[in-house]
Amino acid sequence: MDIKSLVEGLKSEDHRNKQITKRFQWLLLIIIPFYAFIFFIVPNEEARVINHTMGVCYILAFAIFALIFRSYYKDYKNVDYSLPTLQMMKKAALRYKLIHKRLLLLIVPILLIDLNTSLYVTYDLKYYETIWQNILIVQAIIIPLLAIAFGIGVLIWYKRQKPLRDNALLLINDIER
Amino acid sequence: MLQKEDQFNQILSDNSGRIHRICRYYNPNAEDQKDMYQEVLVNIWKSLDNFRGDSAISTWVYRVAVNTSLSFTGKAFKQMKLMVNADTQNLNSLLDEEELTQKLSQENQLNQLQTELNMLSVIDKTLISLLLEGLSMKEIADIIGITEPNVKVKIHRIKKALKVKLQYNSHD
Repeated sequence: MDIKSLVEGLKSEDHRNKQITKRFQWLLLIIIPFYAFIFFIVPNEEARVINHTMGVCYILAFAIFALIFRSYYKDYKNVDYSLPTLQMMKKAALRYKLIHKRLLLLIVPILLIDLNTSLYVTYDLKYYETIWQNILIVQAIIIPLLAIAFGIGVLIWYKRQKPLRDNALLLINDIER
Repeated sequence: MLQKEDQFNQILSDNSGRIHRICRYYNPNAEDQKDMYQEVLVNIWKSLDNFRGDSAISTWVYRVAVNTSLSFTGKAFKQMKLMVNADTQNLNSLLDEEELTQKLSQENQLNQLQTELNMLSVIDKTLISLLLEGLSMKEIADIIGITEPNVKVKIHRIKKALKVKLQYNSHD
């Protein structure tokens, strides 16, 4: 086996991971504050309270999505194989669980985007006459889209991650028996 | 980065034999052994930053190798094999009986042992592979993450069952 080229490959992967982490930091520390600065500080006489609310929703949703994504990325990239087997398997079982706390956090940015879109359709686009009609039309689009996205996510989990979780649970059971 | 590379190369030169043996235990064909060996090296590299020196480096390497093998064989997890042959070191530690160990040198007896070993659960196979490596109960406990008395009980049960089955078959 060519160890030298293996090490070179591993070093470049380390470098790539560091770059991705740096890009995330750049995104969170520079772009979001910059966008917030433009939105709130730079005077815009035409902007109303609604526009500011939409801006807040957008920035928060974006920031929370980025943080959740970074947290998932770290988890999958930094699997520690040097842990005792039982501990590693427990972590794997938790990592490959379909629904856990971190996934529930996604509800927050989704609600923010829903609110943002509802405000946009109601006040800027003025699609229907009444507020409720506008809100309902947004829900009629967003809810099926979310259901499809969730369905695809469950299928991917069932095919790729459920077998890994089942194996980890089997091993945990065997070890603790 | 250079320090990590040096440390990695040092670990590799000191533990290459151990890693190769673990790969051989779980994979009958040379190509799979090679793939798993590479996977273990990748995981050693990835986990190296987490090495705090709490355990001996050899124990740490065994942990990475065992955990990789359990993940590596994921696709055929329940069919994971434990391969032994007449040259396997510490075979006597498995049976604790000189006479029975000598009988194992006969090809059919060794095949019988191989069959019985492969009927064990995945974790029992792992325990046996570590026992064959000559590790102490404490080291095995440290690798698997259970208490030393628990390891002793599990290994005692496996050995007892193996002995009964092999003796029963040799009487047939």
